[in-house]
Amino acid sequence: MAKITWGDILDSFTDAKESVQQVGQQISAPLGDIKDAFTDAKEVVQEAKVSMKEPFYNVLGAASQIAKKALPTAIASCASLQYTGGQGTFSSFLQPAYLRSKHLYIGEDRHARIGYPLEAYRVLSNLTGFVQCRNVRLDLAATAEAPGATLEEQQLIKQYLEAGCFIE
Amino acid sequence: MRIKFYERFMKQADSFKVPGADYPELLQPVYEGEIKGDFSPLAPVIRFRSISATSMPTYTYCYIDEFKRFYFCSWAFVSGFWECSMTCDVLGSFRTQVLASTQFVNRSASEKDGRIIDPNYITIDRRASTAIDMSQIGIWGTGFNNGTVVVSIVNSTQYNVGANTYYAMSYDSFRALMFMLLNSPSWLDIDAGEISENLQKALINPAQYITGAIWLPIDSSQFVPGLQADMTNIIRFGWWSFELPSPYIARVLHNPTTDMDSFSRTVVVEFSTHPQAATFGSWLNLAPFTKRTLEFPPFGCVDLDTTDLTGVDCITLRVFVHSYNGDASLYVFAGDQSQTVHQNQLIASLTGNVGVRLPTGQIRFDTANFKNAMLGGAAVGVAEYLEGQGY
Repeated sequence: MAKITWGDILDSFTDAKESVQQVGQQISAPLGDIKDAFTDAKEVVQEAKVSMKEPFYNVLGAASQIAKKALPTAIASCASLQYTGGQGTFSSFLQPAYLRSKHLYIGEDRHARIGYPLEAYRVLSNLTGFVQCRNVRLDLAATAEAPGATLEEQQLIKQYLEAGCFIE
Repeated sequence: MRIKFYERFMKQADSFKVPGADYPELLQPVYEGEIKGDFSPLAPVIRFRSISATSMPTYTYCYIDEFKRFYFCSWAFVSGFWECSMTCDVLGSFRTQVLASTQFVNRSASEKDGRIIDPNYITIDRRASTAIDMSQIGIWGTGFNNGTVVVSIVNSTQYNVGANTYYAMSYDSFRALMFMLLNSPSWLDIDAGEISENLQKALINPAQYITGAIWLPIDSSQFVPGLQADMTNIIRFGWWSFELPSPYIARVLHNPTTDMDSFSRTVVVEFSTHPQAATFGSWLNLAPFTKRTLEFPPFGCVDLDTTDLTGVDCITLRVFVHSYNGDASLYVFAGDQSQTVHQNQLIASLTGNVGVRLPTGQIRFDTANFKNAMLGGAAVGVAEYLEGQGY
């Protein structure tokens, strides 16, 4: 058997393409798409050849068989291409739109014991109940009405304020 | 040394509480006492000779005028006398000065900044969910028959888009149009003596001039509000034209003076806050304590970032629909126009197609499907050939 070159293979595809063109004209199909389809088919054959272990003889026979198989499929596909509306989405409008909210609860309110976050400078006399401060600075010098606090007393007061205490 | 005791007065060491007007004088007995040994103003020990040895003192709190300090009391009977070991109440003693100071307050029971997340509370497995039904907010029309049909017809008008003119009409008008087309070929204005009516029907397929028909979920009154410059009851159809019977009417799209090429609608949807937000603060309106999901067919579902919803109690939905093909966009904004801080803050956008394509019987060529069929057939051919060759 004579060895077939790839030029022969391409020629066979050219012949096959002409046959398809005739069919395409009959079914009013865009020829460009058929050409694309055969270009893709040719790539399939080329890939098949690369993966084969032995020389690929009788390629013309293969191309013929491929075309013979592909064309009826394509023609059958074409016959079923009656376009009757595309994708309906009316059902989408039968479903109501929702804005959903999900809430996760936290424990019971203990603000009387632990307060709320405030994170602001305040005059303490303007607050009541639990209060907790940070970076406490005190100036408790003696006045005519009040005694001056010792360093130890100031440390104690600072510890109370920073640990949390109650203005009552 | 004169010491004023307070009977039945209780307080904790971490409290600024001091005896006040609630404690009448009769409950403030004053005793003379003497200091025992070395002492510190923070913890003096005072011996009382004037308190009867047979009755144990019940005083728990006192004030020493000389020291200008309040003390907690602890009693013991030593060597025939009652001795009181005192511990200075620093918060009570320096209450006035301390409370007059300005401090950086982390936490307070009387004032809060609700925006700050409180890490002191753990989440418990109790949930609540709410769903706001937006069916009534009026973006879409109500029901199929109230929608708008946009028909593209091959003809020649001053508003052509390509070879088509797009007509927006009510569904009833669309029915009237199809009735006109398919009831009788009289609109073709062909002499029946020249070509019989039956032959006219066989020769001329009216559907070939209808290149598309989509139903839009928009109330047709939005498109056909009344007599406008681009309203018409004359439909041009290929070579021909005919009148829709009264009262059916259509709007010609692509008229630059009454631009209806797209339709937009804006609605505001209010939502409720976390049930505990009023107590604990608005931080509960943030994830993970609150999750909000917008379900909007046909655009789909989108989780809204609750951070974007800080400080607002509503979202604004703006829908744009392209009249020709139903391509649509949904934009979600935080807040409404009155909440100017959040105006134009886009928090989500979705796209989709809201047009429902109506069957028109037109035959079209699906090139993509054809190509797939070709490839599929070729692959089968290759496989069968190789199998036949023993591969």
